[in-house]
Amino acid sequence: MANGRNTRQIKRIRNEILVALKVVYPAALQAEPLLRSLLTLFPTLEFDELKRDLHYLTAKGYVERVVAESEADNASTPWRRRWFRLTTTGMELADRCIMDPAMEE
Amino acid sequence: MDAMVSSSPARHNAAKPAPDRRSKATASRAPVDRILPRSLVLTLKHHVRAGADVSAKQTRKLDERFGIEKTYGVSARRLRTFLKRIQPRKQVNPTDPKDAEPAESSENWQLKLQAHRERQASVAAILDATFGQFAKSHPKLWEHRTYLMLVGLVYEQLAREPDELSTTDLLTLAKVLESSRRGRTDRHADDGRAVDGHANGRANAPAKGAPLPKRFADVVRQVYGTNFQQTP
Repeated sequence: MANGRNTRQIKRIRNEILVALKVVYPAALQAEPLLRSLLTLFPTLEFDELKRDLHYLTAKGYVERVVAESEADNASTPWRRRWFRLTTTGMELADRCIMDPAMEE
Repeated sequence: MDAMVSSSPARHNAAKPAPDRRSKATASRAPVDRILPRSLVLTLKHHVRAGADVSAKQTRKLDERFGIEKTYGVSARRLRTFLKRIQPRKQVNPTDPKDAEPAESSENWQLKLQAHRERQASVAAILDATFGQFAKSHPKLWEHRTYLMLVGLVYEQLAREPDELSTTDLLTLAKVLESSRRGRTDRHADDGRAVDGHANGRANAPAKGAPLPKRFADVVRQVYGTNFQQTP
């Protein structure tokens, strides 16, 4: 358990991140609007928790950051304004073409 | 409510923030603490950090007291989300099971998930009808990063819990757009125009090198308030 979330909750949130990004694929979503769309299912979700999960999914290769042309310095862009998109592997996972035990509920 | 305000010296003396004249469309996109005046944000922060409850009922009372939805177009639901965000976090022992959120019943979760999926499916249909299918045959669209990011913005507006557009209205809109798209597909087929041979019917997909959809410029104008300048 991490930061008050149980394992089931963690997996659900991560899966819903993939589902939300899958709806707009290959388009991208900013982190803040992504959080707001997830509040419907997870009303107490905090931005720090979402950020951790985005880091995790990016490191796993399921999500990638998309740098907008308007971002002068991509390193200094606030996290809430960063754009994220599914990778091809993330798309396959979201479509259940591949399985990941760490994401299975 | 007015009688209560005028009879209470403390409330009467509370600084009434000046109304913000920004349009509702603009306000709906900005964070709450940028829409509301700073003095009101500080008042709300003080209220919450003093230990006030941020239940739906209390949030509605705050809304009525300061006229937040009426004056600034911020719904009670958005206000509550904002208040919960600024509420001081309880000290939690991350390894203590008692501090974990109470387990939600499986049935409740499934119902909530089903409602959310319904809304997502409608949003996906609307995005598809508005922006067209992303097929390999039109790589020009991939070059338009604005195009792809605009789709994300539209999703964000539609997929959230409805303040202005209920799920029923969203479903109706998706069906209308879908039947309109089918009507155009049938007309193209009757005209003998080349139809994409894919089984899932991508007859309305533009040919390689085709310009952006006509409505794209309108959507940019509505979302950004500016005209879309296509680079040559």
